[in-house]
Parts: sequence; C-alpha cells; structure tokens
Amino acid sequence: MDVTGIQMTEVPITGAPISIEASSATNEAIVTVSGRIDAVEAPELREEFDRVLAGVIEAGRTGILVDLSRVVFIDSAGLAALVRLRRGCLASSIMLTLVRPVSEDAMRVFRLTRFDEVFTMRTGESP
Amino acid sequence: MNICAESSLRLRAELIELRALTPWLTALLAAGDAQAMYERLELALHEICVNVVEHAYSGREGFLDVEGLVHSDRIELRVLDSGHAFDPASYQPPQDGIPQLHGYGLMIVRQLVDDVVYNNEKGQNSWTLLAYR
Repeated sequence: MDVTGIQMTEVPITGAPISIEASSATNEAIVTVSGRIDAVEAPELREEFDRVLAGVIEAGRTGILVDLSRVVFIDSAGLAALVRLRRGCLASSIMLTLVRPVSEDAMRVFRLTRFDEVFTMRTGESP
Repeated sequence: MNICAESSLRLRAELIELRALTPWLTALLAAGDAQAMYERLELALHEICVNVVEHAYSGREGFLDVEGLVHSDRIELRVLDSGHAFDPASYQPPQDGIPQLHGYGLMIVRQLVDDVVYNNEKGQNSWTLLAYR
C-alpha cells in the first residue's frame, strides 16, 4: 500500500489490463483501464472497482478517476461494472469521473445508452 | 439479391468462446466487401450472443450457431440456440437518466441494426439481425 491507501496493482487479465495509482495532487485514485471491457472481463473489473472504492474510503480520498481513454471496446456488461461503481461512489459521497475513450467504437456505447449524460466524463489521455 | 458472402460458426455456450466472433465477422464482411458495417455489427452480434450465454443457457452446456449472409444491399446475422426461450413481455427497457445494471444489451442492439427479430420454434431460439448497407 502506498500513502494513499491504494494498492498499486496490475491485473493480469487478457482483454482489459487495469492499473491503479493515486494522485496526491487531486486527492483521487486514478484507475486506468485499457483494451477490451466485455462480459468476459467484467467480473474481474467489478472486483477491482470494489477494492479501489474500499481503499479510497479507507484513505479518506474524495474521488475516483477512471481513465478509459485506451479502451477499444466496451459492452453492456462493462457498462454495468461502471454503473455499479457509480452507485458505490454515490453512497459514499465519492466523486466519480470517467475519461472518455478515444476510440469512437467504445464511445458509441455511452452515447447509445445516454450514459455520456449520466456519468461525469471529461476528455483526456493517459500520460 | 445476390449473396456476396456467407459463413457459419458454432460456439460452446461460454463467454470466452465469444472472442471467436470478432475474427469470424471480420472475415465474413471482408469476403462480402462490407467492412464498413463492422463496428455496428460486432457490438450487436456480441450483445445477442452474451444474452444467449447468460440468459438462455444460464450456465448450462449448449451451443450457439451463428450464421452470416452478406447480400448486395444488406447483412443478415442469425444466432440459433436451444436454451430457455426469451419472453419479450418480461423485457423492461432502461429508463433515460436512471442507470441500471441490466437491460442495456437489447437496447444497444436495437439502435445498431435496422431490425431485430426473435423467434422460438420447437425449442429452438433464433435471433436475426438485419442491417442495410
């Protein structure tokens, strides 16, 4: 664990590598997901989001930034994992922000479901 | 209308098996010179197949048979399975502005293709996706 209470992890799953780091500047945990977020990867992503949220609450952090800029495909199961995280954040007064996928294919799902109007999303790419 | 390309694929009813859809669809559309349709159809076909694995079979063993026809004016994709029948009356589309955990798959599919037809005959389910080029 680092000083933020967020354990640095690299989840070894095929389609959606996940890395988690903490930003001391913004008092938020940054979760970077890349690749493919589909029904195969969603269960592991849900577990990882649960761990991040628990770590953020424990460390007294105020926000979670999920960077999806390098996600190339996301399906309804991937969206559901994000909805679940959003619910947990709302219940604990944690601010959840998503970085938009650069991929138009991945972004299309947010538009079709109007989740781009539900989630707080911003443009930006991983460093 | 002429058939430009056709192909079929049999998958076990497991989510990981659905990874085979991408190369299969890529090859089908390339053979029919319809690559421009790929993005719409990949997600639509994927969502239907996920629903079949998760809801029709619900962990039971079985198969999905996927058939693709590329016509000069349209593409037809059909998914056949022998799992539980889908009850259209039970489907509750998500409401705008109220994020739910379920129900988005079919909502997404209906927006990506021009027609979605479900049938159940003699214990076999079929989902047909139709997209005009």
